[in-house]
Amino acid sequence: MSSPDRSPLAQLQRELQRSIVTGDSGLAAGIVADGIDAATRVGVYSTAYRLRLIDALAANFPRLRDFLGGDAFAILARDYLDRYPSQNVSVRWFGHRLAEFLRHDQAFAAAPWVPELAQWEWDIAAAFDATDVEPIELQALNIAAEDWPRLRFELHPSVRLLSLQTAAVALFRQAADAVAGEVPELQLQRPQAYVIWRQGLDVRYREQSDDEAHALTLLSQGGTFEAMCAGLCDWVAENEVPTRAASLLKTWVLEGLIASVVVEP
Amino acid sequence: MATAPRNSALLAAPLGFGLGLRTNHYEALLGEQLGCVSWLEVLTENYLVPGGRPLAWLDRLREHYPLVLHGVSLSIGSTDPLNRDYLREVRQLAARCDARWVSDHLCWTGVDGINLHDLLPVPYSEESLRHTALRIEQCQELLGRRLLIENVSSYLTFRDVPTPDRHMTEWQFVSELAARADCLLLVDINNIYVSAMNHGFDPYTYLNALPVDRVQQLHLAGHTRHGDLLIDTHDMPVCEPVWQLYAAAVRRFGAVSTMIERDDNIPALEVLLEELQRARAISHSLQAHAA
Repeated sequence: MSSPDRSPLAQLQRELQRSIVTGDSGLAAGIVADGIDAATRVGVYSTAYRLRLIDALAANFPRLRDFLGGDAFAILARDYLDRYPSQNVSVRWFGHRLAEFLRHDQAFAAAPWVPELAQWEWDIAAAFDATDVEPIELQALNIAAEDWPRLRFELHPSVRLLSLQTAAVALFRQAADAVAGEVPELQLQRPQAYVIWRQGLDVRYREQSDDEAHALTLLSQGGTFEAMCAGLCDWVAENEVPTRAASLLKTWVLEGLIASVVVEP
Repeated sequence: MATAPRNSALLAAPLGFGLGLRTNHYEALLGEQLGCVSWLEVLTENYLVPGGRPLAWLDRLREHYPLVLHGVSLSIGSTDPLNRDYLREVRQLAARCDARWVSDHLCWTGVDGINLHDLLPVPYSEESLRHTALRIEQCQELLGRRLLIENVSSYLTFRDVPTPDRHMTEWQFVSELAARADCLLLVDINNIYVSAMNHGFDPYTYLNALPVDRVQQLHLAGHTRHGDLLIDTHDMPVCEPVWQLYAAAVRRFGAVSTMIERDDNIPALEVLLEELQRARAISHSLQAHAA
């Protein structure tokens, strides 16, 4: 990695950046102030910086903003911006650590739906503009019986698998007419698995049963069909495993979740 | 005043009158208003995504409209290293949408790896000029084409730098930069006006100093007053003084690809088409007069 530029130009840029980010006008001596003082001039950039990035975060997490309300969201966004200033070329990616940030924020320790809703919205957005890949069709599974145990599957690049402890998805669904601060009972009795993906150009999501979630997660990690079947034994009787495995696989293929299948040598 | 001669060797043929592409106009541009403008300007970063709907729209639009790319994150004036991954992505996007040209701003957006997502002014010093010209040359090499560099609105200027460095006006800087880097210019008429009001210079002096043979595109936009400063909000119609400045630009630069850039408070397409019609009328009237 190259060492930082120490030229006068670099120092000047660093100083102005610091003034914009911190909101102080330490650079005042270096700025022309005829008619309008330097603090006002720097202040335009400083104010715009915060507003722009808060707006960008709200655009990336619209439901979370709805539920928290504009003022609370702005406080959260300012804290996040201070902790993780953007390092991306596009504001599309601003907020990639928001869910993680919120999970560690004591202010939301009693509201786990907040980081979960953030994670959910981020994953929905990730599916929206994930790489285009044509999924396989059922004919691709016309494979010799002896090869089946060694099959490996690549999931569509849009697929996101997650398990939630709260009813964040219910919030996501009802958020259109949400009232800030009014949050229903959210803690689930037990974790619920979901799959998010894109079918054509449309983002889809649905709940998964525990055995399905386990099986698809295993495939997403490179597990073989044989390993997947072995895992299903935890949920269904051994003689029912082939039927269950075939049924799951057919569903995934028809939904466009599978990008490719290969026979492991 | 007759239209000044233009160096056709450097400049692409004018595309006519266009608009900045905005998502809420997708349907109309491909539906009831198909063919309503001669070309569209695409915000580069909005389409630097792996796939999905944004790129699908772009693929459809390119079938009906010439497209040009307009970026905000090149950060050409920054002292950080050039982002070569970004430039590679821009090159790929330009190829995908058959971009007629690629533009970005005379600014820096951050240092030390931070992106403030703002168009910050560069100091108009020899050091800054040398640095920026070199980087434009490097970008042009990586992109395989000449860049268009756009003047930004600004709210501050830096004090004179110590001798032996010299301090220039913005228009001297822009003109010399274009010559040294052998790049082209995207002149934002509104930005000239906003900066002129904020810094107390004559916008016509600026306009008349720009090299005619390097101006390939014009932007028109609106702004807002906040206290003593004009802010380049791009959320209002073009104002009268900017229309007058545009007329002077047409007299000086002749037929240049011209578009309206609205970034916020975006109205129905018809409203922008009506505004664009005014630009077309001004240009046609002055061209006819010059002929």
